[in-house]
Amino acid sequence: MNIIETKQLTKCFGGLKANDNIDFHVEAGEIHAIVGENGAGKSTLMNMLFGLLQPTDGELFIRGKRVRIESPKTAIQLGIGMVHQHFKLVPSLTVVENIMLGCEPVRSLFIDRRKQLETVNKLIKDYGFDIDAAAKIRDVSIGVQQRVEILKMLNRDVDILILDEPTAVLTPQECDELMRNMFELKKKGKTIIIITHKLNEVKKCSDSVTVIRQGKVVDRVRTCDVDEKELARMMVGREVLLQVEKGSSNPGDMVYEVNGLCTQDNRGVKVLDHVSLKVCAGEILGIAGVEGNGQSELVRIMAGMMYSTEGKIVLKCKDITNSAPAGIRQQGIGIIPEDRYKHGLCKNMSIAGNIIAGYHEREPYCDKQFLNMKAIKDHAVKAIACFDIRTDSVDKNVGNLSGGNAQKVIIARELSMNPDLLIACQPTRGVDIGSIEFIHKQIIGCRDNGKAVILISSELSEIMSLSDRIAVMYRGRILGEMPRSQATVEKLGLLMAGITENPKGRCKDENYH
Amino acid sequence: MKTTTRKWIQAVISPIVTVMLAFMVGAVLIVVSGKSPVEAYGALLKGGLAGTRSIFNTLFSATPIILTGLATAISFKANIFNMGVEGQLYMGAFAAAYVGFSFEGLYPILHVTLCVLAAMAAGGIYALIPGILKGYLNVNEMVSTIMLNYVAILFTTHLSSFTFKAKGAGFAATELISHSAFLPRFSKISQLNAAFLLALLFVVLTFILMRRVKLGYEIEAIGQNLEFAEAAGMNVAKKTVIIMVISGMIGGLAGAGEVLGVHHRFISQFSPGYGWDGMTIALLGKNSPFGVLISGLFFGLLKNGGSTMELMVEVPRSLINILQGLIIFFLAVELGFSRLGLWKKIRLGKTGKVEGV
Repeated sequence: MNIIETKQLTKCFGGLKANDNIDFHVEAGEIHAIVGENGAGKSTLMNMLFGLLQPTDGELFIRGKRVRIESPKTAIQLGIGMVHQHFKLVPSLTVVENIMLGCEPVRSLFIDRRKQLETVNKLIKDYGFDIDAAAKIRDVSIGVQQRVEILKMLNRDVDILILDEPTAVLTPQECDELMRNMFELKKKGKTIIIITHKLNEVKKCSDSVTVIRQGKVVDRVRTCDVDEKELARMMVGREVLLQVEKGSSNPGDMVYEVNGLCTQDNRGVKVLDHVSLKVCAGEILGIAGVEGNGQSELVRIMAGMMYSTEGKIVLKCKDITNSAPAGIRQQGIGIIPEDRYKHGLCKNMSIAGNIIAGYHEREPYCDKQFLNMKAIKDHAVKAIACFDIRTDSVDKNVGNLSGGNAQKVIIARELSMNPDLLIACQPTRGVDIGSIEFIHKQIIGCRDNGKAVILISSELSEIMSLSDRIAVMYRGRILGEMPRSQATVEKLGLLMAGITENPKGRCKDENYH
Repeated sequence: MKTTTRKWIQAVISPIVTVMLAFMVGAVLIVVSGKSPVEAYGALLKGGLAGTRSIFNTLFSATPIILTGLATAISFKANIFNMGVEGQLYMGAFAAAYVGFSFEGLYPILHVTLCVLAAMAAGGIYALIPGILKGYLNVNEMVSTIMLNYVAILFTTHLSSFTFKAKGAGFAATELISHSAFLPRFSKISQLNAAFLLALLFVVLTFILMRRVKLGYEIEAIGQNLEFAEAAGMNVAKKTVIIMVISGMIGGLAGAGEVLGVHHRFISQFSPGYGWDGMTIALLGKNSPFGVLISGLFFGLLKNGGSTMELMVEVPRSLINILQGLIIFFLAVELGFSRLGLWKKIRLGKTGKVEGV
């Protein structure tokens, strides 16, 4: 029986279709995984199921009955519970108090603490969770907090549990514990939906998988029928959408070298593990990989926004490891950041202002602390013409531009300063087709001018059509590297799923190319 | 040009609406107390604007709060909340008085300049403390600056009550400053003095700083999107300290104006909350220098016209405080609405969350 079913479910944000005619179903009592890249529309879909978002169009059936879920409250009444990536717990309260918050048993005017404790202890015992009910939330680990969140939902008698990227915040041991708990819940007859982009987990715990890509369902398969490689390919898409014209590369001297780079995230988990890369003048090095395998951290270190714990970065024989962002720009590195509106642009600032950001200390834009407004404006006017930024005025705020035009502002800024190395991270995410083509041409033009380019993208098609050399990242390591001519979707897909032909792993052999 | 005009109109309309709303609620209060709001507001305007003397007094009342408004606006624009302008004003005022009574027989222009510079230095250095705490140790500047206000007020009270107390004075105040340190008054009919010209000068200087100087560009970037500013290579910690110091310097200058132009000595706890008025003015003026000038003049008008209103229609002067409070209230509502995107939510109905694709 299908416990959840959607028909042509669509959600639009303005003109953007985050979910496009989604037909999807979950059977009662199964663990169902939803996989897809960041921004593919997984969370949107789940938020509609949990009543946080209302569908623009389409129908939703729970246990065969058509429903409208107006709020999380309705969702819980229908037996749907969701555990978010960021927990909603009160740190100063105990586990018991958090679980019972909002539905405390009351005797006359007071909370019946004994009954409360009994209820929670029974829950913990029933599901075989490992939790100390009397501990305060601020004293327990992230894994335990997550279990508390799950119990909170179970306490409200839900039988469908949605887990939004539950493993993103967990250590490997905690992940295993979560898997055990999930199997326990399944035995008790609960249905679980798990959102993730880690394919090994999908393989480990789920019964069936729905793959979503760019707001559309790619396929629904039984987990035992597919392997990680196939899933990876479905996730990033196999068709090469745009064939870019480009000549062969003429690699020159080595410009940039990353050697044995390691770092930890703020939880102390190693997210980069001895990453080594080299890129020469006049070539594009593509870094492929399923998202969340250390690419973001690598870019942040290269941009000077994060410290490395080990390893070296050398630009033209000069050690620039852990330089500040200003220093990195001065050395001639241009960066197209992953998160356009967070690190790349200032929405409430004019286009002209955005186009000089990071270079605003240089002549002619700035002369002895004073800005040269005319030079800035002239430069901006020239840039919007050269880079085809569609706007009627450079005084307009960047926030008014479309995604593609906003991205072109960043590209105009970084390229017009003529950098020796361009680091482009997800340069065409959320950008319309026309702009994608333009941006691709610019990146290739940059290479043809003898610049070095590092392209990080989760779009395999983009990597395949632009790169001269391709490296694949998996779990914070470079798992393999090959010239474009030898690369095939199959080969890269294997590496993206963490499978190497040579079981010893090539990652140890850092300078093999 | 069209877009800039539209931006400009938007920026002008919302403070006017805020003020109108405050006056409407104020009118209800006047009616409730059995007086005519038309007469009361008429008297208010007359007291603030009718005749040279009234106008001079309005400008006089506006002088310190324009400066504290500028001090606040610079920091607010960078999303740094310097709530310590009041304390910086006291430190500046005392420094100006100290230099004022310590020297004698200097050329007036030199003496005044020395006093002003001392005041700005004192205000700046005092703001350096929360600046460094914020920039390098990430200490919440709202808490530290508010707390340091009390330190400054009590410290200067102590100095003027004991160490530097004027001989024979019945209240806590220093000796009079030398005549050479007086800021000249424009006429006998009003206390309006050259400090007003200093305030105007600093409106222009602040405008240039915000629009034409590199630091102004950085202030905007830091204020609008901190992570973007950092990614673009701005040394945010250092800029935070600099912005705080500049803000404190202007606060100190406001204090100097009061000492050199009005009291001619440091009187303990002389400020009726100029620093706090500055915050309202900065918010009402949308942190723009000319906006601050206009709302500062408006507040000067209220302060000055209030006493006429009290005399003529027997509506108590405390109505002015109520109006000020209402303006802050409506500004806060507006800020809440724009910051939390409430307008959007109301328009979209109950769909709730918009983000998270």
